[in-house]
Amino acid sequence: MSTHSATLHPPQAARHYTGALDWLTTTDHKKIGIMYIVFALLNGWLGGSLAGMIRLNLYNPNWHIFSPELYNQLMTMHATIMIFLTLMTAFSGFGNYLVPLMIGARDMAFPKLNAFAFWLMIPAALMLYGSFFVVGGAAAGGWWSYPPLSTAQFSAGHGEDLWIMAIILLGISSIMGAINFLVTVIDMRAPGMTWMKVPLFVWSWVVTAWMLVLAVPVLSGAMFMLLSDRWLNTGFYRPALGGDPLLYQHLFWFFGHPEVYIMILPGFGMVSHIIPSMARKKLFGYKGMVAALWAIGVIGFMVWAHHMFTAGISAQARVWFSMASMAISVPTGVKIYSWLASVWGGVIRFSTAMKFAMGFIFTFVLGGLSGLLLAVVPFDIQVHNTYFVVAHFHYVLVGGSVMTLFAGTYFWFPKMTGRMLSEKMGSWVFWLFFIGMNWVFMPMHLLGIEGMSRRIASYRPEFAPLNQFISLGFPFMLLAGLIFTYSMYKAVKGPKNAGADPWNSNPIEQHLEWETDSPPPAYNFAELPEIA
Amino acid sequence: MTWAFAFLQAQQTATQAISAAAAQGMKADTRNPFTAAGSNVAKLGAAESWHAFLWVIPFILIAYVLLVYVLIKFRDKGDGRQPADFHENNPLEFAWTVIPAIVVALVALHSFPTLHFMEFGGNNPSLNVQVIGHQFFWEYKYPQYGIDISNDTLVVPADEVVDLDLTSVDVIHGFYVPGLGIQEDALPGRLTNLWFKADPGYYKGQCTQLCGTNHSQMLIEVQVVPNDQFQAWLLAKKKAPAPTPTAVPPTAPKIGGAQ
Repeated sequence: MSTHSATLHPPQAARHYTGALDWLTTTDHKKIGIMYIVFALLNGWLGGSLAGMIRLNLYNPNWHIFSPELYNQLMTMHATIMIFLTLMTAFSGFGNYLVPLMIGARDMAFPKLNAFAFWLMIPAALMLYGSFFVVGGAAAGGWWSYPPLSTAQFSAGHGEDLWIMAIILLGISSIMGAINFLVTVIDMRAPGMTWMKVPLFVWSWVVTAWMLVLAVPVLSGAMFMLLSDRWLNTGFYRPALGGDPLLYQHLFWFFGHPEVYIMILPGFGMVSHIIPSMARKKLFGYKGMVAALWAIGVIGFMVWAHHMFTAGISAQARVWFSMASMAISVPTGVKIYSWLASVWGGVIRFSTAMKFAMGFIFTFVLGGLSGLLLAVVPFDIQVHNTYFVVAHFHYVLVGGSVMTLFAGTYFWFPKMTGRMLSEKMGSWVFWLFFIGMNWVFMPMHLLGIEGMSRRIASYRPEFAPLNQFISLGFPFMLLAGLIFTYSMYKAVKGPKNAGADPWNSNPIEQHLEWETDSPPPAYNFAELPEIA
Repeated sequence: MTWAFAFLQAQQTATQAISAAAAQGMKADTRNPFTAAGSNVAKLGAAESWHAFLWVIPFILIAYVLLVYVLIKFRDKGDGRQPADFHENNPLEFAWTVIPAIVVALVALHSFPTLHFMEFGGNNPSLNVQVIGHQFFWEYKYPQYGIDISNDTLVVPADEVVDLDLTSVDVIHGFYVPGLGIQEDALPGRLTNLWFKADPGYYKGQCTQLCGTNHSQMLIEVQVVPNDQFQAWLLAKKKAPAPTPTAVPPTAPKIGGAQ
């Protein structure tokens, strides 16, 4: 195959469009990747606005700026948008853009499928946002959408149906994307790129895609069953018909926990590129890093019921899921130590990307270890479904995923656009976001320990001081987002000022994306590279 | 003054004491399960949590000390220093895989006896209460005494094993009283179980499983009183006329789903 494709000329598209039509019809992985990222940023703004509304409502114990009905919708949609339309989408964008470049391929294996997977997200997003305007409003059962609350008897509005169907559509899109990634990496690596030479970001996407292919169909199945319970009078989850709500919880979390790793592993991959480049030193423990990714990708499927420690499952089951959940901290620890060892002895350049990568380590250590504590069942019983859990997963998703996405954006933006992002503004973005993020989520640990339940629109007065403090941190994150977005806009409007290898990382680790122009030409490489 | 009058008076004094304590307790904050644990399971759970916490703290510290150290020590000082050239160290990698593995195994194993006690330790309860979740209030049934209260404080005796059987008539609710260290979901069609042996006091809690519009209004109040006061409260409750049904009359669920 290698000799054949090495002489293959880029096929000529039947028809050339320019401008908007070009973007609408493109099958170029780079354009699709950029569309994913822009779409994720847009959704990040919308989902973040919902978070702002939540924090506004919680500023006072009993303000009710929003009715409890609307509060539940805001909270449900904040999670749904952030998980399915922001984080997964953003990582898909980086994956689409970078994976073919990094393995020396001209495009994804199935370019049309790739475009289809992206465009399928648009109707799903329209259904989610549109559901606010149907009778009864958007889905309000939390992003877990546990039955019986989500059955027709307790959520009669079509918001819930739109939500379920949007999740099914997004699932189909994810599965198609994941299969595309797997086939691309398995089949289209440049000649000489053996598996142990595959860059870590590509490895992280291989493991992520494997998790998507295994986990998302289970979610889709659970959603179809829920839909049929709602409208076909089946009784999968309805006790009155002999069904069991716990079945749904098992199915949902069998997807839901791998999902957590789906949203962080590509971030791990990004950091594994940024740190060597910025510390000017080769990545430490490549083999251990790959093994750790796989360990997380396999053990990640055996821990789901730690979300159900207080749902009435047996003590024996809790023993197993407690052990397995703790075991997963071992490969995660391997990654943290390997990153630190990669920096050790290096000569650190504190670019914005590096600041975010280091900030990520700071916050992720905390998020990971609070997760380890939650795996201890007696502790979990004390704080399950309280703000401690809210603090934990925001440390993982904001302190983990979002920080790595910031880092990745600052690192690869020059590759994607040929333009550098302002480092001066970048410094503001980092410090505002880092301070705001810890300001908002650190005190939530305390709220949970003091016994504040999650997903409540009003709360007992003793929780007021901490909640007010937390709400005051939100503007910092908002400001960081504003500067970040403006910085991207300004750079895109400015002149091209980035070379093929703006971070000078080729002498450290020869990754193929830095060997082609910024931005890369159509079909990436005039001649397919060979790896020595 | 007949014995009956003396008895009634004693009973009245006891119920008044309960009301006074409740009025006092209502003003207090939710009790922190770690610093103000109010039952045997809460104390055990807090001890177990501290144990895990003490093991976790060194790992946070090691990571943070290393992070700050490398950031200061290896920053680019502009002195033309060349980066080191190592990227593998098998003994080191082995150590940072195996040592954390042993530590988490120890933390996990240490917690299992506690879990076992929390699950199976509540033998021979002196009181059984059926806790039934409704949108959006709790119903408490005392089958031994034929008492059924809704939307009110749960009153239980101190220093006795109290056993709670939880279920729901509609959606899933979460029964959570931080000060007593207890939390378990109440699911329709299923029966779940909790037990505790509490110190006297007033405990606040709240539904922890999103159950609909007024989820945040589904509060829990538990009053733990000395046994003699509890007996007096039982008598007073049994004598009192049945409260007029509220908007949603509590209906008895079918208990006994598969567990």
